[in-house]
Amino acid sequence: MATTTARKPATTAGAALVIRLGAAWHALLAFGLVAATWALLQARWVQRDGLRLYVAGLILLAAVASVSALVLLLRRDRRGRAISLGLNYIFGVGSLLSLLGVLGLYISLDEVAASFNRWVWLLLGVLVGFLIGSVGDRFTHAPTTQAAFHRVGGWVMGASAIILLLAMGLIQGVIGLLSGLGDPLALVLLSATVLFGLFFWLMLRPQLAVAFGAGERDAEAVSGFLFIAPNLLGFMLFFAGPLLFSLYLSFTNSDSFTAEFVGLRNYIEIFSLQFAQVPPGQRSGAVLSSGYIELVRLGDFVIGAKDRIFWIALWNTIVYCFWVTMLSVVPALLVATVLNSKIPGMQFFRAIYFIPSIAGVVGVAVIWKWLYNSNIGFLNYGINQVLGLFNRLPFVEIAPVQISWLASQQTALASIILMAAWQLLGFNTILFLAGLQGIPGEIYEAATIDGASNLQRFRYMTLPLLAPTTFFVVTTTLITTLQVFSEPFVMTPPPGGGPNNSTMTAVLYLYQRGFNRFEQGYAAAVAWVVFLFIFAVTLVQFRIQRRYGDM
Amino acid sequence: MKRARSYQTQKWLTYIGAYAVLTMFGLLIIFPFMFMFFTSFKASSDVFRSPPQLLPYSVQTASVNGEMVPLYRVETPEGLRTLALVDQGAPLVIFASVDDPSRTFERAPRDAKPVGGFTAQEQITVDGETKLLWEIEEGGQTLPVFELSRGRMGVFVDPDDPQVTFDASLTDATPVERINLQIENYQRVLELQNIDRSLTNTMLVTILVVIGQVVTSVLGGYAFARLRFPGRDSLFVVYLGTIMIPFVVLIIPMYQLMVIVGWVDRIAALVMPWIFTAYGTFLMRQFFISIPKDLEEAALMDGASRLRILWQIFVPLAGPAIATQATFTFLYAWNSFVWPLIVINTGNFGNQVLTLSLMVLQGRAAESPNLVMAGTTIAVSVPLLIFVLAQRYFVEGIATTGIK
Repeated sequence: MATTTARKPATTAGAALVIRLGAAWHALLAFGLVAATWALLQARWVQRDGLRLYVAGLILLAAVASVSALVLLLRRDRRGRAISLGLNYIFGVGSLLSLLGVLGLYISLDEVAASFNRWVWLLLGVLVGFLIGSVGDRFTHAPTTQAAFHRVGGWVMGASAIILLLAMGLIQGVIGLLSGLGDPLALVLLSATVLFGLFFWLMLRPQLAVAFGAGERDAEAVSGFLFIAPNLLGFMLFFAGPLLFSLYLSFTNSDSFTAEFVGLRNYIEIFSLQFAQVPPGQRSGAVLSSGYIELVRLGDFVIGAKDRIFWIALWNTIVYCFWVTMLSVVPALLVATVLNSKIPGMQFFRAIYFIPSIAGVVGVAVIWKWLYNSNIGFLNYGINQVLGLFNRLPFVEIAPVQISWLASQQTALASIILMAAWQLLGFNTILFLAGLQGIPGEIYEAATIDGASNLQRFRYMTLPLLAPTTFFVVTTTLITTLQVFSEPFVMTPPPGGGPNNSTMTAVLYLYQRGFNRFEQGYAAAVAWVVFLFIFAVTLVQFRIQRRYGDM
Repeated sequence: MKRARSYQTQKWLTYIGAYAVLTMFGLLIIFPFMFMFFTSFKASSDVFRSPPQLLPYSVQTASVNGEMVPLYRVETPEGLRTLALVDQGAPLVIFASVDDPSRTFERAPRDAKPVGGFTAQEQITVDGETKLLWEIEEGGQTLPVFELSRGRMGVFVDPDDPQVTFDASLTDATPVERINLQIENYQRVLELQNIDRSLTNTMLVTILVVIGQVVTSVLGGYAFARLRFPGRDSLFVVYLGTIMIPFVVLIIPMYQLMVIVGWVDRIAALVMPWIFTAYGTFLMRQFFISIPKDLEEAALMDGASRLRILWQIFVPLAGPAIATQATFTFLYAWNSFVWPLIVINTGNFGNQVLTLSLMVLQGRAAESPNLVMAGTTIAVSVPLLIFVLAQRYFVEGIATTGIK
């Protein structure tokens, strides 16, 4: 610190030059950005109106930032340096990523995948290295042996990885990418990257920090932003940006290539319902306005909807969500209570119960589809075996059943519910078990001494103490099940929806509208309705938790 | 004394009850996977058996005159014997007498004449079922009969002595079966519509996503936990909030983004959007915040850079937390289905991942569940292996996410 202060007069001259250069650079940048905005607004070749305005707004914002950086830099304001650093970083990374795109790095992943297919067996070396390393874990009493195993394991893993990369053509790939630099666009982007990087580096130099009177805290803030930057950029690009864009799309009739603003039309179409009274014996079509189709008929009343399938899908989703939550949470709680007893072998059972949740929905759905087969499936076979046992009793005669689980309108959704509950059961059990193990055993001992029965202890101690875990389990199960898609998509064959839309769910409907019929604006509106519905359910959950949380 | 014994008995009863519940529950959980595993080893002749059988059986064969022929248990004049079927023989119909349905006759189809001719064959009703009426010769006289079943008269030989032959109806012969694993099912399914490519694609995508997520989460988690910068806390709240936002809202705009960038049908679309995660950043931040501050302060005094502190102090300490995040990300990436379904064309065999291939396979190979199950076994066994290797981290991860 002391030395920098002493050298302060000497550095100011250099710093002043950098500041002037930086100001000029920002003037140039602002000019370029304004020009780009103008060009973008003129360009007719960009089809997406909304996106064009969005991007133009962002560029204009950057131009304003650049101008303010220019002014503040000249005034020796610390904020000027901060804005300059931010702009140079964002544009530098942007140019670099675009440069990599122009050079074909992202697309070349396809070729990487092809050569990975050829050399994948070299990964065995990495596995061997990992195993050598984990053998070391057994030598906790001999640190040197342990360290030696870890080191050798690390070497083997590293060497195998390098051999794999070389075999896959890392060097040729890099040369191939670099040879693309001859392209004019690549050259422009390369020079932009270098210039932005240069100014970023200049602004970051200690002399500049001193010149702006920036201290330790500013340095920490800069490193904070640098550390969070990769994450934040990805977050903006692949989360926040698309989220806003999705809201915009829901007000358009986008088909993924063109989009026209249609206001609230999609939402109105979704929510249009009509209640009418039908005289007995008359068809509902006579009383409903045109465009409305009968949804349900309750005696003399009929409810019509413009988008009938949406309401069916929503109803199915609610039914699915309710039953899967019930069937996977309540038994899980009971099993976890049994598992919590300190008898040997619990770890084994715990591992077994966890398997369905790691197996993945598609694999599990494929398996269950065969179990549900009405001719050769094990489910019907098992049911008939049990019925056969009953038939041995006197006066009982039940004919063997042949339920066509997934092919019939009455049972298709129930079949999927059963499977989903089965899959979530083990996971929820483990969650409850983790919660139960957090409850200290002494409380139970005290209660036992006071003469509380098992049931009383469960009702008045376990349940209230477990409330946070229960809340977490129920909430995650609700959120997962309200988004159900893969199960009906795989089990009731594409395009899905099952017999007479009986397994049509909200997200499945969204998929059909968005990707089978390419009505992506409408699908985006459906997505927002589903999202708001999930949000409302979660909110209700939170309120219940707050009210009963400390019972 | 007596009390103590009853306490012991009660304890044992509790044990037995608990094990019974847990085992039943465990069987319920494990059965579909047993079905998958055993079906994947079945021969194609064995898959549509009714009633269904769990274990893969196939007909035992024996070598007769240099040819492999199936073995059967056949009723012979000398009793039940194990014989080899050398000739499927001629078709044969089993008829039952109309006057006495318990009397049955085996005849070649051409030896029976339709009563009233083929065009206007007479019918009778037997036990409520309508049957066609035939006439056969039996002991010099014609007899009205109806068809009971059809079969074949096979030629069997003694596998030890091929000269000894027997004629017997194939319907009465029961095949000699034994458990037999058709390991070549795996070979075959890997060749089917490029599933081996799907497998390595899934591995590559998963590896890249895990590495990317761990790197960005460690960097971001460190910044949130240890570095003060303006807007940090509000940004963290935003991050937390996004964990609640379901992926469904992002499907459509992300697809359009991929169209704009030109990544539709590309591996890049499966990797790039997934190497940033609010959830992982949150987990890492929670872990880093629990590390005592004095550890890094000494290093800072010595003038170590932040990156060096992170790499040499925080990352080694965070080993278990990183392992937890890596295992969860692994599972998520390996099993992801909706996003690949949207961005990868199901006809593009080059860039498919396993979940997609499996979905296509189960639709196309509906007549060979053994191959479908072999594919499923491949898809399931890799996460299972990871689970076995890293079980500790799963449990720890669940405990931290579930309680906190």
